Amino acid sequence: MTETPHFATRSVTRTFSSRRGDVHALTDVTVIVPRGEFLVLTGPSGCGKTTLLALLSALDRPTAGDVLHRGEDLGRAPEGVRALVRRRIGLVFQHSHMIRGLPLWENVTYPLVPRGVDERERRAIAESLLERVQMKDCVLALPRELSAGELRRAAVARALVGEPEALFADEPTSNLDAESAEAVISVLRDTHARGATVIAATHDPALATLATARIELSGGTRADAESPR
Amino acid sequence: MKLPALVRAGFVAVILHPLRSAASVACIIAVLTPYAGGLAVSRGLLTQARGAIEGGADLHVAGRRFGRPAPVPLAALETLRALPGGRSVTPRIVGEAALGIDRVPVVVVGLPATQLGVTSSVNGRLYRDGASHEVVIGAELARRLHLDVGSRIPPFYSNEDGEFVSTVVGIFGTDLPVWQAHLMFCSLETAAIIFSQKDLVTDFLIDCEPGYTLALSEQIARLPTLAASDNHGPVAPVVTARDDLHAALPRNLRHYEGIFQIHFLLAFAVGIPLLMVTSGFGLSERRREAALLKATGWMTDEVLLLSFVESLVIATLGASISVILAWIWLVPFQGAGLAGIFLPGVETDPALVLPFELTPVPLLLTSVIALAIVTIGSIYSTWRAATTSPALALR
Repeated sequence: MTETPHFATRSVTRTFSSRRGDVHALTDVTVIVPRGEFLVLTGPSGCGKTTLLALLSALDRPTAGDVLHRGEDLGRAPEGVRALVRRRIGLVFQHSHMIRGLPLWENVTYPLVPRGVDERERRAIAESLLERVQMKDCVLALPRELSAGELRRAAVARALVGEPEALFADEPTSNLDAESAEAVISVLRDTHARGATVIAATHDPALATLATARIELSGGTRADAESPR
Repeated sequence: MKLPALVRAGFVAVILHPLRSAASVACIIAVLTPYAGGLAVSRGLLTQARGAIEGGADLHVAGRRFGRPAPVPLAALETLRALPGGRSVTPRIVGEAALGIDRVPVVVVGLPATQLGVTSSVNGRLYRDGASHEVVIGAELARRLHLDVGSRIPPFYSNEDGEFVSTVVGIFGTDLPVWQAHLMFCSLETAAIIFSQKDLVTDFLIDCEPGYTLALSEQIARLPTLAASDNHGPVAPVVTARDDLHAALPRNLRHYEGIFQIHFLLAFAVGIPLLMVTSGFGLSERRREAALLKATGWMTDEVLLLSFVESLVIATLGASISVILAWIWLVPFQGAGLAGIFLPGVETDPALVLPFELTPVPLLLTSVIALAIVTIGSIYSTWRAATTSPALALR
């Protein structure tokens, strides 16, 4: 019996409207991601990597085609169901996207607020996660007091809150110094080793070496020979 | 456990957006401070007026001819005194006059000094009965006409008896009810000369024996005339009981309260768009934050609840500051500019203690209105922030 893939797309298309006309970010892309996979998405800038990550992580809805999570159609699911899926995954955005006025420990554990986790427990979880990205000293720091590398590592810590079943990372090592990049790669490696599915869009060869599968995109379509994976 | 965490996050959100929060609170204060103050004055006046009615006579008996108010012959005093159930009957004259070159309107009340009932708060003394031409005036009137105890008032009336100079022998203290602020009290005889209505009064004040009010009222109402008919025929009695005055009282106040409410509606109408503008401060940042929350697993209703708590905190803060400012406006600043709405003729700096009541009902109403303003004013920006696709907002 074939195992249901953790995430999948079937002939998915995503078109954005702009003043210059329609922009076809993805066209007829099919992807299958089994549970526990470390999938790396590669390709030039603007090829649709971020769009594909957004669709797979239920941040966005497709214009056409299906996006599946454990066989359930995410594209047409109500917002509440999609929010529940997002609650079970971790996201590392291309930009760190921290809430400016909140100290780091609050930022990292803010996803736990609607889950009813009290402040003391959140603080303890934040300390543990920040320790994993070697930032335990920055628990009380505000985002504006941190470097880009530190912010990225903090964003990784936030993605790990709640023990996610999958981790999505968009260019997690771009513009980072070697030390910060290594710290991020190390966390992704550990997360995958714990059994989580990891999907990362990257140009970084060091990160790409961790991949158990690779998909190359070009101009919004798959450029690799392997299909559908 | 979820709700307290979300509520706490709502509190934190107020601090996270200081400019928006401060602008929204300022907006609420601008709209609600006059409202809270006005409502408090209206309630204060109502309470004071009720107190005045309670302290007054049980029955007021006036006269009517051709279905219109008419003076009553003083001879009716004996008729009324003869009726069983009455404890005391006091004749009174009430009329309007104008004083000074500005023709300041005053209400002249003539009645025996012993019936005035106020001695402790009078600066000077009470007038003597008889045609003494001595008057006691309200503090606000004294201020407007620059009168003091001992001042002479040039003749302000002219009739067949000639002209008389009146002497101010007393001024009511500012702590007396506002009703007395524009009044001029004098003896019955002096008032009769002022209005040239010899042996006539406007009404009688009757205090009844306990339990006799209704019976006496009915008895008087059945009288064919209050006194023997004169050249103009009989004078029919018009009896007004204390309950009738209580019932009629809010009508007049409601008129002023209505004018005030219309003013406030306009302010409310301006306040909401203003708040819509202020709630748009940092909108792109808020949309990004809302998108981030949704991307990390927050439901739309949780984001909306967070915004509602934020609105609630801003509304409570705004309402509380408004009430404090209203109190400052009413006490140290004597309701300058506000008193005139409810008390026509009272200038911006009235020489009287403005009655007001910041009771729970106006306070609660103020808070509810503040919440309504904030919620309605920010609903669009909140909804947009909460429903935008996270992928688009985080681009």
